[in-house]
Amino acid sequence: MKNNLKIERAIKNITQADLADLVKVSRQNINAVETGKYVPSTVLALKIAQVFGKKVEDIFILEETD
Amino acid sequence: METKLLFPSRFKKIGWLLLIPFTLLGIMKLFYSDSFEFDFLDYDSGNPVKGFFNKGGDTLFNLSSNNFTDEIISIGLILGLIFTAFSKEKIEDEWTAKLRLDSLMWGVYVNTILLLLSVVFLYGELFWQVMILNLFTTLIFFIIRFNFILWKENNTDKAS
Repeated sequence: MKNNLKIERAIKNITQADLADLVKVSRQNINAVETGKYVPSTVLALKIAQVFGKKVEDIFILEETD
Repeated sequence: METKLLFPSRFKKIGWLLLIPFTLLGIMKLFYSDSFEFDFLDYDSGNPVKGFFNKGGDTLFNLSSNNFTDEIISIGLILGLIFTAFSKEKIEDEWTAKLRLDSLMWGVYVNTILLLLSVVFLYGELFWQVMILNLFTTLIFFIIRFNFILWKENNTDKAS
């Protein structure tokens, strides 16, 4: 699964720590998601999408290998 | 995500405060064995009593004499390990829960592999010493792995 988290953050101009605070998780969690090391739960994905005011599919994209 | 069965996060600090001194004491005890004992932990009932469960070996109820240094060290070490290993992080979320589970499995694997190697390669007195260590190493490997990943993830990309 790919994600646009870094780009979305850049557009909104917030740091990983800011995003982590907004969705109430640790900064390490956001970093792990952003670097593709961790696939977030549906709840967390929805919360992140909500922060950016977008649909989950706009931020998290399925790959062929998934 | 609610994680039950974990101690409040302040127990992690208590855990480290117990773990570090008792680990050092434990190492001393393992190396110096019987010569490393505290006199104030000596117990002697005076006469070899016929105990409640007196069917041979010493138990708590038919003990005639013992030095409790090793018991105290073991209890301190176990409490230290449990508190350090199973306290909540400051921010507890689904990622830390997953990391905890992964690390626990990793710790058990590493411990089991080392156990296998020590069964094959170590004999006699040395084997028993490693067995004593083995009582604690699963949690030790877990703690090292869990905290290392936490630390590593905390230090990558801090600027962004």
